[in-house]
Amino acid sequence: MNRSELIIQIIALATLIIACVLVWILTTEVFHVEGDILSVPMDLDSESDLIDRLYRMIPLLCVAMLLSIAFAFYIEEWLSETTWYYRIINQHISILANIPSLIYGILVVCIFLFQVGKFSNFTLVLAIVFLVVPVTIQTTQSAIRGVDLSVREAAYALGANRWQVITDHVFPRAFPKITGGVFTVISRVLAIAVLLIIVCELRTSIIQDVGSYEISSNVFVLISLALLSCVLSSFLQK
Amino acid sequence: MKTQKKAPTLQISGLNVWYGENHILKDLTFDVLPRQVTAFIGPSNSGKTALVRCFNRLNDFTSNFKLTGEIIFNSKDIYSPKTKGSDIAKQIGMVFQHPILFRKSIYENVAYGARLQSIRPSVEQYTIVEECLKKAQLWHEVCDDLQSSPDILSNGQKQRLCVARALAADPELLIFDEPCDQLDATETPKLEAIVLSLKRQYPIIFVTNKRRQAARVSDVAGFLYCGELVEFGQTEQIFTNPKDKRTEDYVTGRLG
Repeated sequence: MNRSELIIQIIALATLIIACVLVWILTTEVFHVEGDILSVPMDLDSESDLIDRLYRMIPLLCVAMLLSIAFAFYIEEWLSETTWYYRIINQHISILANIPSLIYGILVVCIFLFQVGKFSNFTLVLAIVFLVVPVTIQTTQSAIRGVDLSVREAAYALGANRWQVITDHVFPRAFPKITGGVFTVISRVLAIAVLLIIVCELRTSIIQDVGSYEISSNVFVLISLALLSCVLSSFLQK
Repeated sequence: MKTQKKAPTLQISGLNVWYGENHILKDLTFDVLPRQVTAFIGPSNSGKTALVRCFNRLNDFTSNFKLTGEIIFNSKDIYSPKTKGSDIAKQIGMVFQHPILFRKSIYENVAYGARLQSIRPSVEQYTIVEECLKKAQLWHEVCDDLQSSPDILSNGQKQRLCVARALAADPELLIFDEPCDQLDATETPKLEAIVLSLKRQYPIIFVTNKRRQAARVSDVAGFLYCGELVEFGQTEQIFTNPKDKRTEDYVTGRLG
């Protein structure tokens, strides 16, 4: 690993951390709900409410996926691989995509639910975006890279412009892999949805038993260790 | 009979090409005339492919590609900022080393070339496809299964299909980049015959690393060695009476 690459990875990590802090402030400060945690669960007293909301997230899910596929095409086809912003974007995506979906789930449950006190739409949107976007971009990128260079050249040599090459050759050839990626993402989202529903059911009983719930600091230590190892793995794999 | 001097199709002057730090082509100057086959010979890594990829701007997609000098194609500068790469590529047909076909039927593969020229009506397209397949001497072999996938074809037939596809785009110059590399002994003469039959209509640039093939096919030949155009002249003269020592070594087989 040479020096410029190391610098780019450090910049990527730093911006990610800043983004995380911003998100943290947004969710805890701006969307903070006043009052005792027992007084808020009215917001989410039944499981069906959550399921309703998750259903309402489906259009968002589709939009997020389509946008990520479009973005993947943009960075693969229009950005030159040698530029620094291409490499920084790539680094971000690979760090985020490497994080297991379970960690996102735990973050949603621990931080957004117990700290903020309710599932606001904002937290759900945020969770879905973090879950969906990096993985979709990454699988689409690898699908696009899998298209033989010679096919593009043959099309360019016939006088096709960039759009024609993408729509006539690259997209049809990458399509099976892109749909494969989309299904991976759907499975991740569904797994998180299941986790959320189970936790919601448990939560009411926990609150009734204990009165309130404090997350032990061990949980945070473990989550940060898990995140750290994800980041390290994405660095070392490069 | 009026003897008119033929205007050159391609005028290359002072062409230098770099891939990153590598100086691939060093100060080439020559003309490509119509109704002739211009062959480029030379050992591998001598810059033959890099040279022909400059003409249809395929090098634009290579990172760190840099070019100086001028390439004038039909009195237009190929690398002037006003010229669009796809417009140039439309006028120059290219056949690659490997037969690269699209995942479409045989008919659609050829028609794709015509479609890029915005020829839409199916009747017109059909006549173009038929005409091009006939020019590529493939019509009688495939006329019954135009709608099937090109996977059923042999390697040589695929390569001829590539020729037909390049012709369907109605080019003004044809480039063959080592087209016989993957072909066997029975298919190679067929492709050479196509090249010879096409040279009446199109100026042709033929890149090969087989000396005898260049001698059979071309009218004018250039010998490239390590990015330098060592010798450029009539094929007969290059093969029988080379001026440069390196050319002599190459055509007699002592070099490369």
